[in-house]
Amino acid sequence: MSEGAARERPLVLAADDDEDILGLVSFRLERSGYTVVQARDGEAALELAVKELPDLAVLDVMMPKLDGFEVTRRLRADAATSRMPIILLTARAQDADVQRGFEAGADDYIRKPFSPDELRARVQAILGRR
Amino acid sequence: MAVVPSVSVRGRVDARPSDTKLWWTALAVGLLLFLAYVAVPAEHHFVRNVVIFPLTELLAVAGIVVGVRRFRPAAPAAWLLIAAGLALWWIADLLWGIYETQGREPFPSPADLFYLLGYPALGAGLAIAVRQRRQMVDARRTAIDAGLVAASGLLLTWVYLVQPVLDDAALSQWEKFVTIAYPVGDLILVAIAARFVMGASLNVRSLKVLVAGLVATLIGDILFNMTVVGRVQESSVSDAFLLAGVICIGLAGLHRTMTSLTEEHGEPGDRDGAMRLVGILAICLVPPIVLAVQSVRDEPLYLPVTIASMAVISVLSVLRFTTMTNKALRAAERESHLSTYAAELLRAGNREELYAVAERTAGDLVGNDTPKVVASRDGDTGAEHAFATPVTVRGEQVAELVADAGALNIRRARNSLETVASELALALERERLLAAERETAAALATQNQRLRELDEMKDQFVSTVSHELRTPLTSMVGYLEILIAGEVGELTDDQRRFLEIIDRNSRRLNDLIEDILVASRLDTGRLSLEPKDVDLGQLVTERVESIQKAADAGDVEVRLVIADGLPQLLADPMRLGQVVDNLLSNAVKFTPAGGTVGVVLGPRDDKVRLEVSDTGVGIPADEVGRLFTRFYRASTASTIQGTGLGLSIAKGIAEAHGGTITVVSEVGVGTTFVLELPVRSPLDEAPAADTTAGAGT
Repeated sequence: MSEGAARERPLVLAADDDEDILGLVSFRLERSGYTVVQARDGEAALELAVKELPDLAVLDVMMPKLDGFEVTRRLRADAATSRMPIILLTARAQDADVQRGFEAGADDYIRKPFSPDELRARVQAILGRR
Repeated sequence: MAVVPSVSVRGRVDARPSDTKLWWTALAVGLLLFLAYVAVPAEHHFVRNVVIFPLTELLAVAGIVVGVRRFRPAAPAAWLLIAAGLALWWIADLLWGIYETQGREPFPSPADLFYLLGYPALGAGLAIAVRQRRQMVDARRTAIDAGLVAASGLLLTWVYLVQPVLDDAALSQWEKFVTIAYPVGDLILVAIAARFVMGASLNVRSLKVLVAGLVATLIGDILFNMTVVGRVQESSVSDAFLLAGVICIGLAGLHRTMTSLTEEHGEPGDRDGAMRLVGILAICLVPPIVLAVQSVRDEPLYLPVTIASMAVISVLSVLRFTTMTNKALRAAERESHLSTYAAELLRAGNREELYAVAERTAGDLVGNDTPKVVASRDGDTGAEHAFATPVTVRGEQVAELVADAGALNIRRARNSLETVASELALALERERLLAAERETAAALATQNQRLRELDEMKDQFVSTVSHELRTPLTSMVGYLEILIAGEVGELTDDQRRFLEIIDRNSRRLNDLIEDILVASRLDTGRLSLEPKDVDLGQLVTERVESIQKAADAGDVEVRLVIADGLPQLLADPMRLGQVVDNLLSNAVKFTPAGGTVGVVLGPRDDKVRLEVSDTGVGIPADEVGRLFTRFYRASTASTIQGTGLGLSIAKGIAEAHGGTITVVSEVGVGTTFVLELPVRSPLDEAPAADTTAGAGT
């Protein structure tokens, strides 16, 4: 957080294997005053998160190589990223999955399809309105 | 070449017209000769004793020889020896006839030699028959019976025929010897004949006629012997009996059933009947009667002979009763084998075990291990067995029970073996039915398993498809929202309106996907419910509040009444909310402007009841039943949007909670849906319903 506070615009990591959704998340957040770094699979997301130490991560659950739950668990296990806020995106509808997401350590959970405005509101709720 | 009679498998000779005709002709000839002999006056010695008598004997011998050639008995020696005996008598009678014609009556003479040789010949013939039949009868029992007859016969012969001759001072030693030889020969013949008759069933004509012939011969001999010892006046009656005997023996040899002398054809009867007992008792009475008669007539008592014969008869009688007792014991033993058998058949698990049980029981019954169950599919080895009976299941011979013990044991056990075979057949049929049942059950289980797998595949498929559909939908509704917000450029009114139509339909598509997923889970019983304690009053209030906006837009008034004393429910609040939402939104949707939606919630018996009534278009009575059918939309709903899945899902969720949804409607007046949920939910028993059902994105 100390590094994030030094930034002019908060850095958000967006990870999704679907190009269009990744574009949608990036567009919404960049327009709302955030810098977005993109990852297209779980491994890339984990690498970027460790390297860039973003202020927040928006992770799709079903991604190639590592799924969102696993990425969340690993970030939480790493001291450098253990306090990074994480929002999970999923097409899963079952409450059991929401439960699983929170158990893995996610801060919030958004179901697909989602409203971009709602995503922004949740991000802002965590990082503070700009 | 001799005509070979057609012989069936079991050796029975089939009747041929020519055989029958020949026999009846022979009978006619025999009768004519007999009548001629009786009719001719005694003084015509030549005609009677040189022509008719020897001719008859010769014809009898010829009859037997023809019979042997025609019917081919298995042991021809028996009949041929009998024929030889008759032939010896023929020579003797021819010689005697010539002596008589010459007015001479030499004694002893060569004729006596031939007469006496005839007895051993006849006896040997019968002895061969007895020997051949040993397999078929209880040798010990018939020997005892024959012994009884012989012992009593010996006593009578001794007292009335032998002793008087021995006491006759007028006779030389040589004359005494020859005279006594006759009754002794008779006695031997009687003993062997008795042995034969005891072991044979006289149910065929040849044997009946043969026995009649032997009896006639015996009577003739006794009468003749009595004339010798002077008890009876000389008469030609004895000769007539002897002639009748010869004719009968010859006819017996010519009848087609003559083979039964050495081979049993019919089923030998049970020979331990009451008649047997009476016969044995009668024989036991012979010595006392002889004693009584002798003492009454004031004649010698011959005590040593009488007492000896009494002793022999007593011992034999005791032995005889012992065999009877043993027989009864063996019968009881067979019964016990059979009753154990029935129980063992029930315990046997498969066909091989059933066969083994049947074989073991049959083995116990015949006293050896030859009984086998030969399955028909193994092919008949073609081997002849002493006993063979089919094992028939539903008219189809599936096996054969065979056994190879001595014929005697087989005969005793025959009925029991047949019972073994028929009970085996029943057990096999039962086993077949059970196997069919097992097969059906296994087939059903396999089918069930496959259907379950298909169901899971379907659920998996629907689940995957709906998650896959959400990914493109996410982009669609997301970018539409940005477009409609005007963030990437100002929109004309038409552009905005059209984009909003796209947006609305994208959301409908999303609802449809969600409904399909839930419907599929309800179908497979995999809808995960997460039961919690639910305050239904609060839940309904919240839902009514959230529908208020839509109701206001449609100018529909929503009235909510919640009764007191509403119990807490164990339910999945999310799913239950879905049901209430569905009922409320339907009511609002189908109620025209100015109408009212009434929501009444309250306890009812051991249930909680939610009534949602509207003043809408109503549903035709004939469609109410189909209302909960998937994708069914009432004809009056044609202008209202919906997926057609909502009510079927609501009903499914209600039922998963142990509740019901019912509907009452009247076209033009309105519709009332009633949701009833039990206070004691089935979720109490299974609180952790399938919570792992979610799969894929």
